[in-house]
Amino acid sequence: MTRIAEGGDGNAHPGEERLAAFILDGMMGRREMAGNIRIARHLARCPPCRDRAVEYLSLGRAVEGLPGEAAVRWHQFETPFGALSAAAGGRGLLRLSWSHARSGSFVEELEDRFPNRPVIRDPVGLKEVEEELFAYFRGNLRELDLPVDLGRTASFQRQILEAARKIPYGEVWTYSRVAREAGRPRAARAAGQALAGNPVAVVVPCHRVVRSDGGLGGYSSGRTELKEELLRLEGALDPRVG
Amino acid sequence: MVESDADEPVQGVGEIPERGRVGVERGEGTVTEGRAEAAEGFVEGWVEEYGEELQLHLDRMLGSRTESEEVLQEVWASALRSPPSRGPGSNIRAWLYRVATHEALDRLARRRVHRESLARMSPREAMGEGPDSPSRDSSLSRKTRRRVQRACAGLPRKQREAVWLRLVEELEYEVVARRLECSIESARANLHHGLRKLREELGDLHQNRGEGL
Repeated sequence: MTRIAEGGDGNAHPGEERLAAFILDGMMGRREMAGNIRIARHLARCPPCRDRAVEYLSLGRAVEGLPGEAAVRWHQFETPFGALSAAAGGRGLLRLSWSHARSGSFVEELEDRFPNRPVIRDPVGLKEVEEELFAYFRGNLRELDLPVDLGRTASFQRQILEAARKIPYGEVWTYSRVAREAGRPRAARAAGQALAGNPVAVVVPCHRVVRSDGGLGGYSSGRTELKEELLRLEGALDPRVG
Repeated sequence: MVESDADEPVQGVGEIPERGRVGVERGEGTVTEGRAEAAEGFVEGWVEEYGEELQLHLDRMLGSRTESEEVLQEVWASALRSPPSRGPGSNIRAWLYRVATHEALDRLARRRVHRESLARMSPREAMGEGPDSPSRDSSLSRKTRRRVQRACAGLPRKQREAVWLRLVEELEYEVVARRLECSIESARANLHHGLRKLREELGDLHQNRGEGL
């Protein structure tokens, strides 16, 4: 145990770490240790330590009181098409990206995008996302039933992304068709830009949107070969353009 | 009243003080009433065995017999409501000390807030015509929650995850360590360093409990 000084009664003050553990573990009803009795008795005799304990208790309760869904949870997993990084909040997927070979850069991006929300790695919480996507990549699943949170996107972009979500598996639409479906028939070019900023690749299937001249158009980080592979997976390489 | 356990060891196999150890289950019924009766039986025994020393402990913590008696009643109520494990290796005495100490610290926190909010109040408010005094169960004000959340978000990655997984998600250190891909010691250290930073940043938090904490 770290001791920082001797108290007036001859008992050592508990070290900062020990005191915090006593308060916070105790708050959650953790393992009872006889050594804790010593700390409890010290607190009864030492007003400065008692003050520190009160501060830790207030701090612990404040953090404990935060809603779990306030966190942005992330996970990175391998797919047959490369590493895919996923992030979700309480309302659904916030980000699904092919652009981060390293998890560190993905976390940095999330920290920048969500400066007020704790970004937490959570492979367990995002297991379902991983499994569903994996089934899709293996060709065993056609409908991805994953909630998406587009709350941070501008209203025009959200309309476009929501329209793109309606494109059925195995089909492709043109940018103009997506714009039309979104109720913005004259905004095909802007629709292309909105799709280029799609925060949730694959689940919002922007890979199913192609140019009206039959060209594939762009895709995440310029990876048109990935767009081609996804369309091939869905049997849509010879597109029936809408 | 026993005061001689200042050097008692941290609990481990064969190191548990005999008087705090309850090794044999007894009298547990199969229906709720039976369990309640059994719990009452145990608590009766603990009142007799530890009541006096806990009373003294709480007197010292709170400096007021009236309050310490109230807190002690809350301790027994907790024991009846959700009795601690009585299996081998359990330490009833440490459990009672922990519950009593936390209840007392909570009282102190509220007392301090009350004192500080009284100092800020107008005489009319201080006579009880103002807003309610803060209660332990009141939820965080939105402003405070945002502040705490932002402070958590600003911690370095491992510290942030250790704080979140342990305090918000209440995961065991072992699970936290697995999630952080580090040792249990390192998980503990990350939690502690994170807390220290939070304490530096949110050090005035306990003073703001009147605003919704």
